[in-house]
Amino acid sequence: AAMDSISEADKDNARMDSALAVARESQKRGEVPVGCIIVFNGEEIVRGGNEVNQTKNATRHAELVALDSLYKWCSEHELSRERVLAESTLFVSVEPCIMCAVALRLVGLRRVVFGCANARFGGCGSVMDVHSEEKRYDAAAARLPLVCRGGVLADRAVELLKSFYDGENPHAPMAKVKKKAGRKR
Amino acid sequence: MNTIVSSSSSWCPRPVLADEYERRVELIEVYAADIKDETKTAELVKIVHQCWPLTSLTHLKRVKNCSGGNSTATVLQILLCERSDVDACSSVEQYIAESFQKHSVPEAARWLGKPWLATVSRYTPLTRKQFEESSVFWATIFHEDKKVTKALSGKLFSKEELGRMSRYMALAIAAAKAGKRLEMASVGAAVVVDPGLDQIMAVACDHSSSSDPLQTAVMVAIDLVAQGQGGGVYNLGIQYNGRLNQTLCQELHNESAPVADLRGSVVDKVLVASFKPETPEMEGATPEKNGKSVAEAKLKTKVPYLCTGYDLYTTKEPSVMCSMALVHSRIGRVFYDQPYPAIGGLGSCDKIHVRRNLNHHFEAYCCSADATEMELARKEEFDLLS
Ligand SMILES: [Zn+2]
Ligand SMILES: [Zn+2]
Repeated sequence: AAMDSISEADKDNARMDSALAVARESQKRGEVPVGCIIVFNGEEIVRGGNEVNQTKNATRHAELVALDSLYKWCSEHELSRERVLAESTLFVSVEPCIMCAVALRLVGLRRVVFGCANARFGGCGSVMDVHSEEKRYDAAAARLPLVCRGGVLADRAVELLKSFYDGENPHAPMAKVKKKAGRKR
Repeated sequence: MNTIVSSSSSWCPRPVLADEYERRVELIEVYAADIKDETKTAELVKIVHQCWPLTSLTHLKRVKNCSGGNSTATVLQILLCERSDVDACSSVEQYIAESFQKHSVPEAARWLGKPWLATVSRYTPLTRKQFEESSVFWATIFHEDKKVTKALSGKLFSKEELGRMSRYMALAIAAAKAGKRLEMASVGAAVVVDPGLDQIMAVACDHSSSSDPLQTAVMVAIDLVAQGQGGGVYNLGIQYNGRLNQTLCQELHNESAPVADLRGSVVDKVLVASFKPETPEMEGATPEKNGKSVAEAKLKTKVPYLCTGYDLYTTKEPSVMCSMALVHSRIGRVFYDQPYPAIGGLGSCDKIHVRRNLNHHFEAYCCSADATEMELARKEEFDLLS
């Protein structure tokens, strides 16, 4: 059993490595370096990086960008979104923010693995417990809770954010943000 | 300009403030004593401060004036320590005497009368009401936030402002009806306004559906603003825009006379502003080679950043997700008509707009006509859900 869990952790690390690569690509485009991939049936099907500056839409976080790609992927492969989402795992370099955490629950995703914590916006334990709370997602909007695992390659995600914020983002007057991110875990 | 919507006389946005603005006074027990030798007051205050700083009770005056029961003479009373400071094994007098001793001023005990328990307000008053409640118990210091006082008494906005605002809300309600007629997913619409220019930046209906629950009115509105700035991602289709415009116009024409204002002045702007975004000045201009003049041009052209400084009018309280989207978008103020008890993020389930640890805050106002109506909406909501 111990061997199994080690290999599971190794697998998560490898996935997170890919998510971090997406984050670096975002940074090259002048975006906050956050990246994610969605894995279905043991395979990466889509990826998404932060696109806020490019789109001038502050909701274009990596997770929501990836969801749009997933919708496309599903129609191309003639698979139901609900099924794919329910069986997929999202690997994202930074803890999903409150908005994304709600969004992921609303669309019916079930499992999230994230890198560093997000002390400013985190919806999976840092600022709010969107992932596990019941009261706000009852009835019509109800979906099952998100199963979260954090702290995977957290140091590398923090490094990436640090290098970004030290280099100053010309588009956003919000620079100081995630300095403390990651320390929590 | 005077009568805009039939109910405009009662239309009054109520601020949704952080919980600490709404709480009733909470009491805590402290020891106080009469000052026997008033010539020692200043000295006593200093000593007592050193012994018990009472850092969480700085809203209370250390010394207060108390008119004596039988004569016109007044007595000064001084706050000493919290009841919980006194350790269980000693008497109050003993504890206080020991504390003075520790600070090398044992004589201070003689300047005071017998300590007695006073109940005082635990928290700093944030509103006039809390200040008045607190003052009943002990003299209280109040740094009044004039804006909060005005907002709570319904005097924050001028008649003209209220007129404009109620028209924008009427537009949002009309857009929601139009969306319903177009059989768009559900309910709700949102209007984004630049209050400085009195200009509509976006009108959006709720596009969420079971297959994509994320395209809510607020999310669409945010993207329409982005489209106006040369960005955006949602592909809503020209057809949709045309149909929405058409239906919206019909909707507005159906309304009774007072909305006439909306038809003439607002709708034309809607068509132009939200669906055919104007290109920012900068792009057309050919900047001179001289770096300075380019910089000057940049300064002159107020380049909008996301929804900074904009107002959002929406028929329903934004959900937690949408509220957070508005934080990210740097919205200035949100006016919502009906609360959304099940998932609302600006008063119902949470107060995302005033959460301490978030890096942007905005003002939120609930605009539904009165409390009874709110209760009714709440009931309907639950009926729908159950
Ligand atoms: Zn997010
Ligand atoms: Zn919402």
